[in-house]
Amino acid sequence: MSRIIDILFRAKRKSTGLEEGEKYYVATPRQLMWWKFRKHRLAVVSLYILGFMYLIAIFAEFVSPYNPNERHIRHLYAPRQKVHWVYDGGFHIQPAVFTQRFEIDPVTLRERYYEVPEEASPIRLFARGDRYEMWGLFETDLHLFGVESGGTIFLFGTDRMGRDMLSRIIAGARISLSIGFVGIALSFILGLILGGISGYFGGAADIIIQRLIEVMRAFPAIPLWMGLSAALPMTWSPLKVYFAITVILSLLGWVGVARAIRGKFLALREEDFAVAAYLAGASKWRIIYKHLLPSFMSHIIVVLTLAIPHMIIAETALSYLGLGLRPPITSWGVLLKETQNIQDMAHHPWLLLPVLFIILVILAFNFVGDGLRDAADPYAT
Amino acid sequence: MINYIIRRIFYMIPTLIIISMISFTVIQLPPGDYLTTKIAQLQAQDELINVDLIEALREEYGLDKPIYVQYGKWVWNILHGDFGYSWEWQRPVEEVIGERILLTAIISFSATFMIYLVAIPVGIFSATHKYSVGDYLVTFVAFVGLALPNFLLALLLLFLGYALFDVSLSGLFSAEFANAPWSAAKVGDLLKHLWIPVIVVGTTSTAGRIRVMRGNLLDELNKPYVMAARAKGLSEVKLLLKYPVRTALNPLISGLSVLLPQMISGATITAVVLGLPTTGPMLLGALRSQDVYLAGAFILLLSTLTVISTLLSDILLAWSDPRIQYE
Amino acid sequence: MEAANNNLLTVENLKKHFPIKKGLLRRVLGHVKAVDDVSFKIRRGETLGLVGESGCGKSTIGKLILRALKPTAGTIMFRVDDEEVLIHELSDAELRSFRRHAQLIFQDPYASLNPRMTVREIIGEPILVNRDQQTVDLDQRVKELMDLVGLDSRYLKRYPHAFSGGQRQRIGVARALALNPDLIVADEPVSALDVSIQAQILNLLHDIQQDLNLTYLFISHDLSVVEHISDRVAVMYVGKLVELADNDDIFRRPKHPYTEALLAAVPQISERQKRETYTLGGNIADPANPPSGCYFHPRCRYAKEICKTQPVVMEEVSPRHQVACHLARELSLKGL
Repeated sequence: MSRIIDILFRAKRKSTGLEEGEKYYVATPRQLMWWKFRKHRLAVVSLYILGFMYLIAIFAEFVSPYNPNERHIRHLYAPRQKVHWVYDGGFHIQPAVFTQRFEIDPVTLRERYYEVPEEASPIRLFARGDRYEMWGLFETDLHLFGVESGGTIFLFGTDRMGRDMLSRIIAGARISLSIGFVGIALSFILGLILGGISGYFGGAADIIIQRLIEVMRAFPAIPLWMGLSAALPMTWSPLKVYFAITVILSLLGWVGVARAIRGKFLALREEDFAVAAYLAGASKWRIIYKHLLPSFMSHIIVVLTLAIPHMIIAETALSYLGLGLRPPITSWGVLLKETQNIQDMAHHPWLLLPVLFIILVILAFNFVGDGLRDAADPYAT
Repeated sequence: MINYIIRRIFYMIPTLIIISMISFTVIQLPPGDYLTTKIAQLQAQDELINVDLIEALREEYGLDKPIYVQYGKWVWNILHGDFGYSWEWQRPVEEVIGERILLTAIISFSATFMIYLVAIPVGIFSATHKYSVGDYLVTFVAFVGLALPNFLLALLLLFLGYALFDVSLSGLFSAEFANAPWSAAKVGDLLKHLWIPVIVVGTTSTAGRIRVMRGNLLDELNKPYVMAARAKGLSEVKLLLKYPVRTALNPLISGLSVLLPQMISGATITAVVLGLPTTGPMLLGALRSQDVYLAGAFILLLSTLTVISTLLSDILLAWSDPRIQYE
Repeated sequence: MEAANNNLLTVENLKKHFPIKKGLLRRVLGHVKAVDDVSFKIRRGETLGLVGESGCGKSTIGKLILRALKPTAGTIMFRVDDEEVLIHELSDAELRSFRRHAQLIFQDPYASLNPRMTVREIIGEPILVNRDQQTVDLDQRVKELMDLVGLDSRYLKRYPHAFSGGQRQRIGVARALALNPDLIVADEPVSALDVSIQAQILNLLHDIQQDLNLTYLFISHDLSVVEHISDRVAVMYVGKLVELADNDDIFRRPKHPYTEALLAAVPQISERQKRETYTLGGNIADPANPPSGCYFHPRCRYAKEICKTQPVVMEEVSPRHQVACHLARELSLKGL
């Protein structure tokens, strides 16, 4: 009861004049789930983080200060430029970065960058920079932030070719984050069709699909992925490779989805309310679409949410091995592939920053999945 | 029980046939074959080609025959212990891969062993100390472990080893043993290096199993029979180990059949990152150079290994859980 | 012939056997005889109570009559507008148009209502899927039904989670009434409810029966509930009927030892005459592997040699009173 009161209390914010009890009584399943999901703090925070990352991925060209493929040949392996509020002899509200200079350390004979506080470039919002084409619609040179020409802003440093790591990570986010969604969408379609057939119609189709699922589950995924990816012709265009890789990922990803859907179908088909609809004269399709699908959709969403990070990991792994995406496509796996040399990493640790983002995204997806699982059945007592 | 095992072995046959077909299809997918690629390379380098030799090889492996004939020939030879010829290594495949498959199996099984060794006690601790500082710590570490794919973990370990201690953590053997014949000293050396790949391969799954064990045990501890046993005055340790832990273990044991393929997969990719002399790097190389028989043998053997381990875990489950009927 | 025309439902030699399958090839190793050679009639406007222990096949009979299951053998005849419909033969398409004549009330008021649909959608669904002639005003019809079962029609847009068990069961009743059926199969409609609510729902069922001239097949394991609502009562044991008689007759003058045993277990508030307390021993027989002779003989305290060997059949031992017992004419058994 206290739970209900709690829910009512939280719902109050958007009260529309309905009496509070009624608000709960006429709450749609989606509202109930959202109210329950909101209680999982970590999941909510993760959801915001993911939303933020996807937003950045969508507006990648605008958010990144540079063209991810532009080489700043005088700034190879430049370390991260720090953001300063104290410069030119005082505190400023507008932060700035200091110019980096390059020297050879007289003792170790290694190259070394140092900052020159006297040459501060204030960071500007909506600065002009490299020209780019936004979503193939219009051309502009407006960036979210940047510095006056002459200065540089490498907040995450640069790689061995002098390319800005922040811009590359943002560009990689678009590929790495989208491949999870596209792959899972394909898996879902395959899994829904096969799992649905297996679960609802049963019989010979069920037995064959069940055996297929067993075989697929017994297959070690990575050797198979490697084999399939290696079969992609080197001559294919980057876009074609991108879609081929998503197809390969979903070829194995559907198995888990199909199993979950089949199990739910079998359980729900016997539920009293499904039988009631049947006895009322409802058609098979109406029962599936009006009763069964809404009931297990939330559970399937949980399975899908928890499967997305696996897709992202798989893409990263394949690209890292050199079997997945290849330059000029920039994904997080491709970024890691470019720093395969351990010494390289040890001397330039900012090259490992993509790992941080991969882990952050995977963690966030896991927490969101966890929260969704708790909220998936708002009617459970 | 014997009947059940025999029947399960019998069921493996269609699975193995499908697996061999998938393996063969995968390695045949790339356009052209090794010889064609090789000829193109040699021609590009203006080298002389011994056309007769090429044709003889083509003949021997039936490369000019239809695909199903090649498949039949391939399977037939494998059944007679002949896995084909590695173009790249210029040796029969079985000579090249034997030790590598063994080392992969050792890493995978050791990792599996470690997972259960760590996950079960930690899971029990976490469940019996619910919402304590220790539990929160375990939960946090488990979540991070879950989010850390093994090849990234390998990368980070390598990085930390190099950056902090200036040591290389890659490889399975010290330099002096790498090419030495097997001896007691070499086995000892292997054991010294084994723990890093084992930790790398096992971490994610250990984290997962800790969560599963904790959840299962908590469910079990809330059941009335536990309260009844406690009311009767059974000691807490006895009470815990006698029934709830045993019941909570069952999903973990049945999860073994999914875990082993993951371990073998994980070992493959980890091996590439860590530069281990196991299947991973060689499979990668074989796939890249279209060394079909070598790649095919790897995919087939790794899959067979998982099928066999699935069988073993099913038998283990049937033996451990009396509720499973295997008549 | 007059009596025959008055029968809404005639069930003859009804059988439902579930195969027991094993192994990969799904070999049939035997059958569970859930319903085995059952015959009875229900007159228009009456309530037939069907009682028995759980697992005796009484719910299966309900499902067979509604064709949620297909009978293995036997006939089910249903009188619609002076025409006999052979339910056991209907094709899927014919079945869908027949559905309006017979509806089910479920046991569990929680599982039987889709939590993701509003009351309007739940009660309106049968109307919606059967709307073939003119379009009815769905909202209007649903409100009528809600009034009929005693629900506030302002709650139209609420979801099931807003209602108590008793109110949910009222929604279930309204849904069953939506198509103006002739027959309602009520499968343990009150056994999931609190005792205080049970009476309300029973009274509701009784009232709407009067108003709408409904016929009930009332399935229950609870004899006091059955006594309250039934005109006639059938007692079932391991897939077979063992006794069928008028309500008063069966409760005062049972003729089957099983019925007697069930009655002895009914709690009584006023114990004016000391009743003999008697508990039925043993377990209900396995319908996959029933005992020889009379299925009840291993648990029967009157059993004789003949009961172990000779199968029994239903016989009319007194007017409108059928019993399946070798000893029916010899024994004098205690009722309530």
